[in-house]
Order: sequence, then C-alpha cells, then structure tokens
Amino acid sequence: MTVSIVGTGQSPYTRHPSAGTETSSVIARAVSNALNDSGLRLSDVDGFAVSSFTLGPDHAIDLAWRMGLRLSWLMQDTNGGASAGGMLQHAVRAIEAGDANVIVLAAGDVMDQAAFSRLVASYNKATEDHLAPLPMNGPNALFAMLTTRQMEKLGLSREDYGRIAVAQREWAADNPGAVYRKPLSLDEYLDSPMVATPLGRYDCVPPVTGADAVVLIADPGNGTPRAKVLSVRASYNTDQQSGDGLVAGLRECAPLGWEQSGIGPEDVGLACVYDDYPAMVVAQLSDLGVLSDHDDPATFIKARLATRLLPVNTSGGQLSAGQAGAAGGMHGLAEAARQLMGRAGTRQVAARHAVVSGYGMVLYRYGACATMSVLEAAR
Amino acid sequence: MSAAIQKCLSCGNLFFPARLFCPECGRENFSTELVEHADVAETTRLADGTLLATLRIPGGPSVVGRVTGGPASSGDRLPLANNLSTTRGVYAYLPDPSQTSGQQP
Ligand SMILES: [Zn+2]
Repeated sequence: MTVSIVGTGQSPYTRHPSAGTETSSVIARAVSNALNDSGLRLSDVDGFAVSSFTLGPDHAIDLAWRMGLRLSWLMQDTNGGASAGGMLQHAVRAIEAGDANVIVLAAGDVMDQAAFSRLVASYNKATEDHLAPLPMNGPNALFAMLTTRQMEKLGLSREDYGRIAVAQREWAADNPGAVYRKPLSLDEYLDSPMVATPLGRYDCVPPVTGADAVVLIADPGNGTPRAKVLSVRASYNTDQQSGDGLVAGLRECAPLGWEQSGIGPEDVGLACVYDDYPAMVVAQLSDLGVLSDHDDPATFIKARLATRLLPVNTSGGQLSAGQAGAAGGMHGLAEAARQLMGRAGTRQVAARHAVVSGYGMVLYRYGACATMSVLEAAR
Repeated sequence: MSAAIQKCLSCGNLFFPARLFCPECGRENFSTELVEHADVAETTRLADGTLLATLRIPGGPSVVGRVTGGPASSGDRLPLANNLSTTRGVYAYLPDPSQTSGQQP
C-alpha cells in the first residue's frame, strides 16, 4: 500500500458547547487544523469524507461547499465508531486508483445532552421499536450485560476493568485535548455511582462536542514524518447479532489485516482500540491477537497495559478524552498517526507500528461494524 | 402471556427483531410464533431501579427485556409479554409496536 497520513487535527473536545455551536463549524475546525499540521492548503484537497450523527440536514457535499472544496472524490459514512476505518479503506483505494491525490477524512458532532438523547432514542428502528420503550436510554445497559458475560468468560473483576480506566486517565494527563485529565484512583473508580450494574460512572464514555480529522496523500517518501497505512480491513454484521458480543467482527479482520501489513500482533508498539467501555478494550485486544489466547487477561491488564509496556489508547482514549459522537473511531486513528509522526508531545511513545480498531453501530444487542488498520512510522 | 417472534417458514429458525430475509436460508417467507417463556441469561439494574435482562428464547434468539413485577436472576425462566400487563407475577416485557394494538393472546 502506498498511502500515508501526513497530518492530524482536532476541534477541541468540550462537555459543554456554547449555545449555537454548529456541527459543520466543529468539523471544519478539525479539517483546518489537520491541513495546517500537514503543511497543505484547502486548495490542495481533492477528496473529502465525513461522518457525523448531527450534521443533518446537511450532507458531505454541503460541508464541502461551505469549506470551499473542489473535489473529484467525496463520501459520507454512517457507521459511527467504525466510520474512520471505513472511510480510510475507501480513501486508500481512491488514492491508489488515481481518483484523488489529497483526501481529508473528518468526523465529529455537537453532542450536548439534548442531541445525545435524540440520538440514542432513534438510533435505528430496532432501538426505536424494541429498546427505547423498555425504557432504555442509550447503550449502557447493553454493554453492562456484555461486561457481565465477559467477566464470567474471562474471569475478570471490576478491579481489572478499573485498571484500564485508571491507566487511560494517566495517559490523558499528558493530553491537553482530553476533557478528563485529573488522576483517577482505583478506589475512586470502584466507589463511583453505578450506572447499570456492573458498570459505574468511569466505565462509560462521556459524550463530548468535538471533531477529528486526518490528511491522506500518496506516499511522498520525501523525508517528512508520516504514518504509512499498511493495511485496512472492515467487517460488517459478521454474526447477525446471534452471538454474545464478546467476539467482534474485528476477529474476522485480523488474519488478513496482519498478513497484508507484514507484521504480527506481537510487533505493535501502540494499540488504539475502540473504548466505549473497558470491556470492549479487552474484547478488541483479544480479537486482534494482541491479547493472545495464551495470556491470562487479568495478568495482561496488570502487567502490560497498566505498566505501559504496551501503550494502549495514549490520548486517554474516549473514556478520558471524550466521545465526540461519530468521531469516536477517528479519535484513535488520529492519535496513532500523531504518535507515529512524533507529534504527541509529553505522551510521545517510541512505537514504529500501531494498530487501530473501530467498532460501532449497535443494531440490537451489540455493535455490528468493525475495522482494523495497521500503520507504520515512516519518512 | 406471550411474545411474537418471527419464524422462517423454510428453515424454522426464530428471529427477533424481525428480518427481511432469513439470515440462515435466505428465504423471505415468515410466520409469527407466539413464545411464552425465555430464560434469563444476565441482568443489569439501572440507577433508577429498572431491571433489564438478556433472555434466551429456547431454540431461538437472545432478546432484551425489562423484568417486571418482581426480581429475577440468571437461570430463571420468565413469561414473556409484548404489553405491560396488569397481570400479577414476574414477567419480561418485550416491546413490539407491531403487536401492541391487538389483544394479549
Ligand atoms: Zn430460513
């Protein structure tokens, strides 16, 4: 593959957007910051893709128009936390095919309380018809029951999940863009109010307003730092919602994702996995083979993740940085690229390879979309 | 008390929520099976006291319901209902707008 990320940008995450904040402006800020980071200009861009739950009634073309983009390639992805990987998969092929030369991928939302309530009540027809009337307001209860299944299957305790939340909060301390940066102790985690047993407050992502963007170009090989895309895989509706949700479509992505990248799960120096809940961090590291079938999951969390021997979600992840709606998946992709380009400030790690996963769109009981990307630091 | 579950007329598999084509055999002829019970797999209690459960329909899918009329835990077999009933006893409420206009069977 011959395509690289050469710039990343964020529209600052906030829990409390000022009145009148528009989704289009929030996404445009991230696009502008990513272009500045890449050294390219708006007029260089000929491909654009966006994912957002709250952009309506506008679509990708409206946003492109308002940003003054003239394009030969345009797409919009509706797959939430898996949209970044989906857009990346398409964009890499588009550049390779010559349909575009400079593509910006962006995702973001204005996600205040009212927008969040609207989103979760009418997420899809199955939710409207069969979950919202229970009543169920958002996916916390579904992932609470998924977490219970995982605790039984893998022998994990609340302390184990707590160590993931605490470790990510420690990373967030070094990320000025994270909404929660104050240290979190394991006791605070364990004593937090229950949201849906066994999930407490710190198990659930805080919805925020914000956006992330990355800039992709054909591999320049001119000495500028970049994150080369080695492989991108996607999987949709792998088990028809008939399983336990503990194995995601990511497991289907992994064999070819590793083969095409030319490295294995033991070679990654950074993992940015989709972390709407700590149980999904475990599930995705397991699907990727980073947490191997030979590892004891509780020991792995304590000995590798909490110690930073394996850096995981170095931005603080969504659990501490915040979940900016459809940017949930772009957040990890941008962080991995930022790290591989050596632009992660005081949280910089020395990784040469990073794996990024996306996960999203709860159809009825758990997410049905999964993506896997492997990136390499290059010049 | 029962809940309406989609049944494929070709292969007999049960689905909830309803599908357009059968994910097992690809056909598109369905009937409605009235299922009386399901087994509680996991539960979660929300901050406001609401008890939700994942329930396994024998020979069919796992569904998400609200435990109503009392507590329940993993392993319990509960009656299913598409309506919030006034009947006494513990049961699992499985909302389905396509069923709520009619009489409880
Ligand atoms: Zn069938």
